[in-house]
This record gives sequence, structure tokens and C-alpha cells, in this order.
Amino acid sequence: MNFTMSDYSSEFRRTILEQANTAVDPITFEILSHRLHQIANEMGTTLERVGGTVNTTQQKDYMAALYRSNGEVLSAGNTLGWHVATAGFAVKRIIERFENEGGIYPDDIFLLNDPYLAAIHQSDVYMISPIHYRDRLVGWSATFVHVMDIGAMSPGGNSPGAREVCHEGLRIPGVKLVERGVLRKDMFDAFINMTRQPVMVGLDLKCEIAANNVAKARLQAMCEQYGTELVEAVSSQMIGISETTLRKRIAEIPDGRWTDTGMIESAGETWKIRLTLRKKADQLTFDFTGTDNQARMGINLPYHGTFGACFASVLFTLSYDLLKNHGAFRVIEVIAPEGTVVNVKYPGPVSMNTTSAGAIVKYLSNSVLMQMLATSEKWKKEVMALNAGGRTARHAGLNQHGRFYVSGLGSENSVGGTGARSYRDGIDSGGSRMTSPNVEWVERNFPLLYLHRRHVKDGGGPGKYRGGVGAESAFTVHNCPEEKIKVVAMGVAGLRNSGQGIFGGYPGAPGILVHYEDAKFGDFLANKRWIRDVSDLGIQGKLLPYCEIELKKNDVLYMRTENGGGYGDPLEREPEVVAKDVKEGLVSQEAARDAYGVVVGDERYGVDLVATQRLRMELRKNGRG
Amino acid sequence: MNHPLRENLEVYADGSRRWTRCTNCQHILCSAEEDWKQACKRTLSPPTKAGPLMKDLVGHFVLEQMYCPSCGALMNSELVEEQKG
Repeated sequence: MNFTMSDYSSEFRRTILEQANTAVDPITFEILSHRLHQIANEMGTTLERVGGTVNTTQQKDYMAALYRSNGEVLSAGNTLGWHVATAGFAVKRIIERFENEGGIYPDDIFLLNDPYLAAIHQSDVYMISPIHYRDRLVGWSATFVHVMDIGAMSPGGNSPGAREVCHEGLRIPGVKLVERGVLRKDMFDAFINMTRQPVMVGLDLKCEIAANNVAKARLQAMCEQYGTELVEAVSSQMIGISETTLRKRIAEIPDGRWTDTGMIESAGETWKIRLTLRKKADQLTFDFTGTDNQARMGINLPYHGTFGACFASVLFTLSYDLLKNHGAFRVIEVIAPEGTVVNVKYPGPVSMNTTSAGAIVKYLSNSVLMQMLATSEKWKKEVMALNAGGRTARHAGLNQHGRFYVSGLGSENSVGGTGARSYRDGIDSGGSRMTSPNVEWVERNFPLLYLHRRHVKDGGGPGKYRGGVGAESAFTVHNCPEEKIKVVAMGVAGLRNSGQGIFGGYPGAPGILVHYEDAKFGDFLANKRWIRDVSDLGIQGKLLPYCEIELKKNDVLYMRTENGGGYGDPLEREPEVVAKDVKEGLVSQEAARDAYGVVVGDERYGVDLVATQRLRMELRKNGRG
Repeated sequence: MNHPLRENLEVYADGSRRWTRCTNCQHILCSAEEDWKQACKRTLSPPTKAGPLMKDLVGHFVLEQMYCPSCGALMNSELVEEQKG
């Protein structure tokens, strides 16, 4: 989605006009600030068009942004917010490393994926490019894509068996991949040669080079047309306006302190992440004191990843209508004790962190911000319940075309249900900004057969406004030369990974990943029977912790995404709306009765109003005394 | 200064004292500095109260709910770890 002037609040427009008297005229400011925003968006489009893997071309697992010459965030496109912050750290690390040794020259492009410097985990490969105009450094562009392999223990880069970062693949603190406009083929080949999928990884690296080249060409054209001084003045003003407006908004909210705790569980181990948000005047402090020590497996976040998650939460709650830039950096402080799950100490492993501790930190930072917004008359309408992240998996093996592949079932968990809001239901299969590829495309490229992909009945947390239902999928291997593939189970393991409700709303159903071994799926097909539900298999599945398994012929893998939490008391939901949910297969008659106190008839899904009134009175009396 | 705290709860100023009270019935739960949850009526239910798909949580988590002790307005629903023994 692109921004237009109408997207900006009247408050923001007023601020622009107020500041315009002392700086750039408002019309020029509008034109140039939008143009900078569009450059970042065009970088994202370039990544999609040139990239190779499903992550980049379909799932939007990428980031593209512009930075000022000192590394401050200038303009983030509509891409993954937390990487906007971490890539800012990456730009600064490149400046520190190369300005005195090796040099930073026009048309250089640097590669960095070291999570102990700036990346979140090695699979997220940053490409960073200085932008010069007439030999003067005027800014930086940066991208990341999640490459499909990084030469780690497990195919796909997310390694449950890794016990230190050195088990998790290539870790590059910064190299020049392009030197004064010339691709360093030796470095390029060395990089892709250490992965299991050199062609696809090569395409992903080249899409990043292309996107950075687009940024360079567009920013240089702006400097040519308007002059560097004007572009610089607009850049300063963009950040100033975002910071000023954000500070004003925070100051209007009552001071206070809000807390929440998230949990990850795998094979008998539990890790808790605790967060306290303190708000004083116009400053926010996210304090993770009390979080458990770092894990022996790769769910740990580096500090900048934790910072980035808090930054993104502020961007998308209090600043959703503002220009996304360094302004939000200046109003937050993040305290994350070293040696914990949220600030890993070397050589702790990190490869699974984005979908585990990362998902929980994003959930918690949003949760405490929602509690804060609820204390403001002006902002309470923006409050929504959340979801915490669910399960996901990688799969790899020989495909039906005889080629080794690595890909992700992350596509399936991109369609989780979103939390309910203060005025409407959550979005069914709303997901995040990432998307899910279509089933036919997956089956054409990988040796998989879908049994189904559909909405989860009773997934959404009940409430006055219902949480969005997520999706459930089941697969088996099919047309598979080796009759088996590898599956790496990751995400937020455990059963408290779905959306907690808010203000009385109930939690959504948890996301799960279940392996049905030797399900005799072939026998069902031979008898011309289809599996409508995994319960038809007649065997008990195994809930998967963090692990690597073989999915063999006749096995079935079931994945249920996270589901959104509800908002408010479910007994206050309009009975007719509950009946509509039942009719559409989103809520069962059983849940309509037990959670909502609504009696829905069997045939036309009509509401029995008398029985409903009686039942609700009974539930209130029995449940609440 | 009065301000909302969450659905059905607000901070209410009475002279120099500040209280947390139910917006549904104006019942005062506690002073604004205290934990309002301690003043609520609390129930623990099986997680399946939130729907049949919560069955995997039985034995691990319970649904803790907080109500206004005066009018029964629902304030909070949360999955909490089940206390064993």
C-alpha cells in the first residue's frame, strides 16, 4: 500500500505547516518527502521482481530503506519494521569498519549478516550501499532478504540442533561485494558456494544489489533536480516532524507502568520473557529485566533485534500515520540485560530467533503499548488484541524435478488471525504484512500435496469483538523421488503462542505443528477417500518441539496458525453476529453456546432468542456469582 | 484527573485521592496506586471455556477471569499456568 496525502492525520499536516515557516515550503516538502518514501517502496518492488525464492518474491520477507549519511533512518518503505532499525545499526557498523580502512567509495555495496554486529540472524543478509552525488556522500540505502540457505547445520538456516552461533552458517561482519561498481565475483562465488542452494541464494543477493542500485539512481536524480542542500533540509525536517509529533502524542498520555510476560516451551524447557513499559512525559522505556537467561538453542535475540522490535511496535501503534524514520529512535530506550533471551552473549545461538523470541518480543512490546493507549481518551479506540506468532517450518529435499530445494512453510503461518479491536472483529487470516503463496504454486515446485488449507473453526478468541481466525493446513509428501523430505520445526513452540484476549476477551487457539507418522495416507487414496480432517486419520499425532524430522511417504504434517485474541466480554456480542459466524463455519454451535451464550438452531442458523437470554443469565449467575 | 484504565475500569480523582473504579457501576475497587486485580472477584476455569481447540492446554493452563465484585462486569481473561498440587 502506498501513502497518499490523505493518509496523514490533520494533526500531522498542521505540524508540517507550522514548521514550514522556518524551513522548506510545505508543497516542496510534500513532494520531496513522498518521493523519498516512494524510493524505498520501489526498492521493495525491485527485490520482489528480481529475487528468486518464495520468501522474497511472494512472501515479502524483506526490508528496504534509505538512511542519512550518518546512518540515521531517513525513509522506510512498507516493509518489515524491525529490520529498518537493525539495518540502521548495520550502516553504522559499515561506516566504523570501512571509513578508515578499505574506504567507502561511490558505487560500493557492502554485505553484512553478523548477528553479533547488526543482523538479527545469519539468514537475513543485509546489503548496504553508500550513495554519492558528485563524489559527496549524501546517504545510504539498505536492504535485507531472508536467503533460503546459509550453510548452517539444518537446511534453510534455522537449526534446532545448533548450540552456538558457529553452528549456524556463514557470519560476515562486512565485506565489499561490489567495489566501485564492479561485482567481486570471488566473494560472490565464495558466499553462494557455502550454501545448499547457490543458484537461488545468488538470485537473492543480486536482487539486493539491484534494489540498492535503484535507490542510488533515484536519490542521485533528486539531488540533480533539487540540489543536495534542499534534499538534506527535507530529510532533517522529516525526522524532526516525526519526532515532534510522536513526542507530543506520548506526552498527552498519562504517565504509568505496564507489564506483560510471554513464554516459549520446547521439550520440557521453558523460557519466559518479561517486559515492563515505563512512560514518563514524552519518553518510553522498554525494560526486559527479569527475562530468563539465554537458551541453549537458537531462539535468542541480539540486543539490536530486541530494540528493533520495540521500534517497530512504536512505529505501528503511535506513528502509523507518520513518516517512518529516525524520529521514533529518539523517544525510546530499551533495557535488555546481557546474557538473556533478549540480549544474547557470544557465542549463543540465534538462528531460530525471528519467529520465536522475536515474535514474543514484538507481541509484548505491542501488548504494553496497547495497555498504555487504553489509559488515554484520545487513543483508547486504537486498542486491539494481538497474536503472538504461532509455529512455522522449513522443508528440504529432492523435488519432483530432480533438484535439491529448500523452502519454507512460513508461508502457511503468514495467514494467522489478527486480534480484535475496540470496535470490530480481528481479520480472519489477516496475518502480518507478509503473505502466503497459492497452493498450486507450492505443489508445482515442491513434492507436497495439500490435504487442505482453510480457516480454523473456533480459532478466534471469543469476545464482544471476535479475534480473527487463522488458517490450518495439512500436507503429505507426493511425487517425491526419495519418498521423504526434511522438515525443521520452529516458530513459537509451546501452547501459549496464540493471541491473548484483551479487556475480558478470550485468547485465540494456539498455533500447533503436528506430525502424524505412518498415517497410511496412500490407503485412503487407494480407496478413493479424502481426508477432510486430520482426526479422520484415526491415529495420534505428535506435537513437535524445536526439532528436525523426516516427513516420509504416508506421513501427514498438520500446521495451525496463531489465532487472534478477542476484545471485551463475549456475552456482550450481538447474538445475530454469532449466528452469522456459525453459518460461515468460523464458530461451532458448541462454542456459540458455551463461550458466547448464544443458542443457534441447526437448520437456518437462526438465534433462539428466549433460550439465549436464559442461557446468558445463567452463565452470568453461575460464572460470576 | 480522571482517565480510562481499560474497558470497564477508570482512574477517578476525588480531591487529592485517586481511585480505580468500575465504569459500569461506579464501584470503587481500590486506590489507584494498588493492584486492581486484587480487588476483583476471580474465577479459574478450564481453558476449553475459550473454545474446544484449547483442549491441548488442559492440565497446563487455566483461564483466569476477573470480574467487578459489585456488578460482575468482566475485566480480564487470561491463560495462566495451572498450579500443581
